[in-house]
Amino acid sequence: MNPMKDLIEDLRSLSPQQVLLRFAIMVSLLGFATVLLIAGDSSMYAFIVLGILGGLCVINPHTVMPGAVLVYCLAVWWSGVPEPVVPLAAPAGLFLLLLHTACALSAAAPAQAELPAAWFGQYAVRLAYVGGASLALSLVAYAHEAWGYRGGLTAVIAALLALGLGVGVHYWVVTTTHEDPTT
Amino acid sequence: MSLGTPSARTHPDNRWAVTHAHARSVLVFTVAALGAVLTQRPDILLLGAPLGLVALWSAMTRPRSVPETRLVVPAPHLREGQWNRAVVGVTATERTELVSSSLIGGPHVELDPDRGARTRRVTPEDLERGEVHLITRVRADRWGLRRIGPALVGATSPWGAFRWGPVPLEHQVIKVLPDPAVFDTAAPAPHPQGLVGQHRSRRPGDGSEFNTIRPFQWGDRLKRIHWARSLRTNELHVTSSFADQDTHVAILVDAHYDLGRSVAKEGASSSLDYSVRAAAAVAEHFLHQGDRVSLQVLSARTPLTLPAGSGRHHSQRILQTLSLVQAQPQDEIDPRRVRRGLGPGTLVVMISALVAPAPLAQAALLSRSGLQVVVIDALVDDVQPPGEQDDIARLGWRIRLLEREAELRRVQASGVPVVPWRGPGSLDQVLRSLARHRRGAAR
Repeated sequence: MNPMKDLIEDLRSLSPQQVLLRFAIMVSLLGFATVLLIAGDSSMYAFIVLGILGGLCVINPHTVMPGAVLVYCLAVWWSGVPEPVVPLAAPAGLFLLLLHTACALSAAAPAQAELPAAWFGQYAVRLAYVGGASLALSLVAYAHEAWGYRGGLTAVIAALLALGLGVGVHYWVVTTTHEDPTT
Repeated sequence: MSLGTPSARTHPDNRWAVTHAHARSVLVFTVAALGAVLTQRPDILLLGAPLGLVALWSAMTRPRSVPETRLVVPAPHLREGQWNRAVVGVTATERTELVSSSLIGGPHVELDPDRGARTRRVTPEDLERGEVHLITRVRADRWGLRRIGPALVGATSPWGAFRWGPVPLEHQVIKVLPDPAVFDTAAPAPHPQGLVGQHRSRRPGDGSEFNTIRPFQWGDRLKRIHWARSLRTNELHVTSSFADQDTHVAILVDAHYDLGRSVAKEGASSSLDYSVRAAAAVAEHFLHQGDRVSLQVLSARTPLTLPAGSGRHHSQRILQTLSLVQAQPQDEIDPRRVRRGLGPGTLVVMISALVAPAPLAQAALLSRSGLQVVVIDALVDDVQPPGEQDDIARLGWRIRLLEREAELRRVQASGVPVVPWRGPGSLDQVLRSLARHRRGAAR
């Protein structure tokens, strides 16, 4: 079995809905690249590199590639945008959310399968919820910055502990055994 | 079939597992949060926050029970070219969002959609009903035992965070009955015998065809009294009829060789395709007339025999038997086996590509023993020679065809008519001449 041949065959036989999802992957990465260029002092090379990475995500939405690309996006934002709080971080985050969701939905079904329209409607609503919550979080962050609060070392340690606890709880939740259907 | 085939139940992917998507959302959020905390950059946290929310949502909607699944083909048999359904059933469990299946069609099986890929969103109605059905249309374009499947079934939870499967489902085998090529003959069977068929007898008897009006005799049925003639002549008269008679038609299918390609899309049929479809057509025609039809298949792999019978059920039995035919050469044909069950007056219809001399020899033997034999030549012009198409093969095939022509002439000279299969009316001329010959002999 040749994985490359399989990938090309998959691309050639994509259903129209899958084409739409792959298009959304590309659009989200190019959107992020545009925001990055506007917000910071990155060069046009970032746009080209992110475009190439977008192409790789389009081919491999079901692999680790989108994860690596997202981490790369965080890195280029950290290095390319000097300001710690910029309003453009919110739309950039939404583009990353769109990228993640399009890759997840694309990998959830066979590439050739027609996807239900109601499913897309459901995700439009879900994205609106998550996007709204993210924007609210951004407003909190801007207010926090505007009022000039500084956490110091205690806040850093508390945040790290909270993060560790969150990851631990998550691990416990996802490794809980299933109900046995035969009993 | 019970829910959950063993292969699906014991498969390592028969569980809900974390997908790349969920691992990605957790990882990106963790990296963003760590980066934000360590570098004092809240904007990095804002970039990862949406994915953190998605990860939280996904973890809270993790499915708790594993679905069960099955593959069912509702109709156990169907005809060539007829559409059927293959249904993948998956039990609807809480928090399952999208169910998908992918079906593989075996040789000579067409799927709609093309690759059998189907998805379905699990709705509250599905949860109430308890099962989600993914339906793929299937069509077999050649008779025989056809394989539907195996299938792969999977499901995902919200945000594609957890995946069940894909688990494999074992294939199902269906019987595809040959589509009887259109065949019709107006000629009578040459030697009718019984009293149930549609052939008009030369003898008067109980039937539906008018013969004459004659004086009443003891034993005549009262319903046959012809009142008008009786009143005019002051003597009871009855209408008499010809007896309706049937005949035993024995179909011999030579399945020693299968020459040519069988590709329905290109309209190409092999010699065995022609043989089987012709046999089905001849059987259906004579059964429709009320005759008794038996079937014998000459093949080393499937030496099938079906005793004589009549009616619609027998027609189905014949089609089902024909669907099992597989070609394999036989070293020697036992003439006693071929002769078994063929009484005097039986019409033997042998269908063969006639590429080997043995079936022709059997036809000549049967004819010499007093049976009416008709041979249908199933090597239709568009059947291509077997094997590689190099010069030597072509020459060899031409030599064999010349030999075959000589054999055909010899067997025709011994009184066995050989008719090329051309669909409707193929046997008309032969059956008419056989019937005339019989009538002449009777006089």
